[in-house]
Amino acid sequence: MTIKKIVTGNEAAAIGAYESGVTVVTGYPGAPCTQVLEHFSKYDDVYCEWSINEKSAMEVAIGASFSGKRSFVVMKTLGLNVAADAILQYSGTKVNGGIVVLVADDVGRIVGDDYQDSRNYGIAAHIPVLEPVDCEEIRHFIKFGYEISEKYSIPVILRLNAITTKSKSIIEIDQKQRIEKTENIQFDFCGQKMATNVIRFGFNNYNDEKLKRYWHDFEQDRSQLREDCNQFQINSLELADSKIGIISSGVSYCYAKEVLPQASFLKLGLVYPLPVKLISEIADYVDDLYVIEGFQPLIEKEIKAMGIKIKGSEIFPRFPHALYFTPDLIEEKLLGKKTENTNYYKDIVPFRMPTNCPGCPHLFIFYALAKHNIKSAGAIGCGGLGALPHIGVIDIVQCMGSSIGIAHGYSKATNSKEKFVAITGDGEFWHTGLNNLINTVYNKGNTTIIIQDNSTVAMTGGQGNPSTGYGLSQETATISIENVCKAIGIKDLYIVDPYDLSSFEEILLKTFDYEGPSVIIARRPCLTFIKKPDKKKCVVTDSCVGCKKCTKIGCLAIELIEKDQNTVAMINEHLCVGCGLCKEVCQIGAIDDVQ
Amino acid sequence: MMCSEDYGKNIIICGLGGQGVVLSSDILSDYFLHQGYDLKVSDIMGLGQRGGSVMTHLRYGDKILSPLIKNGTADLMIAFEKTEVLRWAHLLKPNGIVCCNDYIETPTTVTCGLQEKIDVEEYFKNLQQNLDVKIVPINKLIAKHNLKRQVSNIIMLGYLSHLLSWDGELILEILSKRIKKDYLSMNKLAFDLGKNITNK
Repeated sequence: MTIKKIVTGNEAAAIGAYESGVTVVTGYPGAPCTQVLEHFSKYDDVYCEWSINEKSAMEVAIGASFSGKRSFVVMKTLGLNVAADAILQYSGTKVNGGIVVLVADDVGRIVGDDYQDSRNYGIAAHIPVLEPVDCEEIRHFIKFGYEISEKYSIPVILRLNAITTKSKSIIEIDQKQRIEKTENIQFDFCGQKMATNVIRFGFNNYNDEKLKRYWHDFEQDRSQLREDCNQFQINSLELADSKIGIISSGVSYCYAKEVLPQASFLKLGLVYPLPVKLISEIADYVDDLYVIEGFQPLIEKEIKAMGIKIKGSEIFPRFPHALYFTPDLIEEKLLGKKTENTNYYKDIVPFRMPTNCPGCPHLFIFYALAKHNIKSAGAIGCGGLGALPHIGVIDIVQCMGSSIGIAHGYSKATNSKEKFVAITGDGEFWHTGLNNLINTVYNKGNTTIIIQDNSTVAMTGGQGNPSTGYGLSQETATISIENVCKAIGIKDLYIVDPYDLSSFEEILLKTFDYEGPSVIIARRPCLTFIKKPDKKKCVVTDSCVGCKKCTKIGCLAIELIEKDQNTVAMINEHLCVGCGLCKEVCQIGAIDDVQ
Repeated sequence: MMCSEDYGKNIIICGLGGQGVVLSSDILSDYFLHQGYDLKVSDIMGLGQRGGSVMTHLRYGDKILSPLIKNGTADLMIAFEKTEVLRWAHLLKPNGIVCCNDYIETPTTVTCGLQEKIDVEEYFKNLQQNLDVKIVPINKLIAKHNLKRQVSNIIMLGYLSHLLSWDGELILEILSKRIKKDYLSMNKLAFDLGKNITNK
């Protein structure tokens, strides 16, 4: 019996992979696809884990795949950079159990990430990339992905984005649809591509029985896939009006189809490799051909290289803030229709920046850095929000785990007495920060490293990491940050509660006199996901003179109001948790506690 | 209640992180699914746990293609903060309905001096000329009945069920499947309080 359900793209992905019979599921949290793995924790018969980073996640999945079982890996677009070494190597080698990698791009920077188009990895690694339009397709495409992964001996990327992951639509699910037997073992040996090439090109008798298992004719699989994809049902040619033809993929197809229901369409479910025959067919059929694809003009480039006239980026230029299609944009550019709107206020409304929650321990650290004018390399996640202009204390922010390496490099280059501080969250520390710390110790660095240990991966919604004591659904071990630091040779090591601001400042300044790397573990659990705040509030008294010092700490609960013709501070009682940072900042004592 | 062209019916739900926008969208999604409609619902939110704008596009009808609502085509906006109404007002069709909590929260960008403060109330006067704006006194009700702020969205749903003749029993049934038993009576009370709001 099937039931109709409305689910998000993330949940549909979990259902699709489960129904495909996956045995091992791995990933690393990252917007907008974190929830895929969280949905998996309800299935008892699947092993799932938060790996420490995307490369680990990918390699665990490769191991499962080699054992003949289907495996599923989930990561955000930037995570694919971390996993790239593993995935590019696996492409072109032998695949037993199918492997599908779900990658969520942030087309349009809706969830706030760096923009990157994961299809580039498909092109670089010759990996097929599937792009579904809605939840039913996500579920169906994952199943299809496993079929082609095993048939063509190749990992498959399923490309989602901030809209397809978060959008809900109806799927019909059958509780008994899980494929039970998925073991697929064709190869007993799978070597690195280079090793297999050595055999193939070094031995003129490579076809000899003794050598056959060591090489793999991956180009044959690839060319077969390029040919077969013209017949894949997920690539559908809808020939209608012969004036306008549109080649489109993903959710952009839905926008275009709604605006131009009469046009001819080539809807691409597989965006790499492209079905060359189908493209030629629609090009021959219509007068004007357009390509509408989320983010970079990659399909467009390939089609233009085929010598086919097609319009894309010349009509839809990619601006920094308009990287994704909307029905409005398509209507305006292709039909010349623009809605006149009397209710347009968007441009005058102040932006709401992502900020730390009121009472966030990170705010104390940002304040201390600002107060002493300390230069720093920052973190990704909640611990990096201090780099945004409402606080503006962190000087350089790059990618996950990078801050320790950057600080080490800065101090080696400048040789200055004053230490350049690295800030890293606990999740980030385990992700790749630890590698940088080992490098700093090994190469006799001289930096201060603040590990903001809030006992969770907070920005993505409170996931576990090696020091939190929990993982996804399986039991995990707990690894101590301080023990690891000691073991690799950190001698100047402190553990401090950032709410104890004076101790924190004192320790921070003391580390500058130490010759060698210092680590400060600033430990206080996240107020949103780990430990709810006490019922305390702060209040601004009548003695406030409106100096606005408290507005610089980045607390969401502090607002300014007009009172007796003066601008003074006001604390929003609904938001304040009584952490007292504003009290520390207010030099005239105009802020009090209330119980 | 609402009329629309071929786009189906379009609802915007907006507010700030932590105000229950997503739960409201989940409940209404299940509600319209029960009514037999096709629907697409997009939760659009920025990064960060707090401080950001949160918005949902909800579309239902016979067959829905695009998950995004076009400018000037939304029939209804459900809002939990007034500045957010201004931010998304261009999505509404002329004479569209706005149901908004009587609450303003100043963005951090204004407090720390990066952007100019705007007079939200003054802009609301303009809005009222082109749209059917209903102010829902949620915060007052919460204070008066000593409720938790978490039920703001449920008060709003109660109000809407009365205004738009939605099946309140069904909404409550869906709600009861999504929340802990301990909170059920408070949520039912909140829903009824919303239903009984009679002012504009």
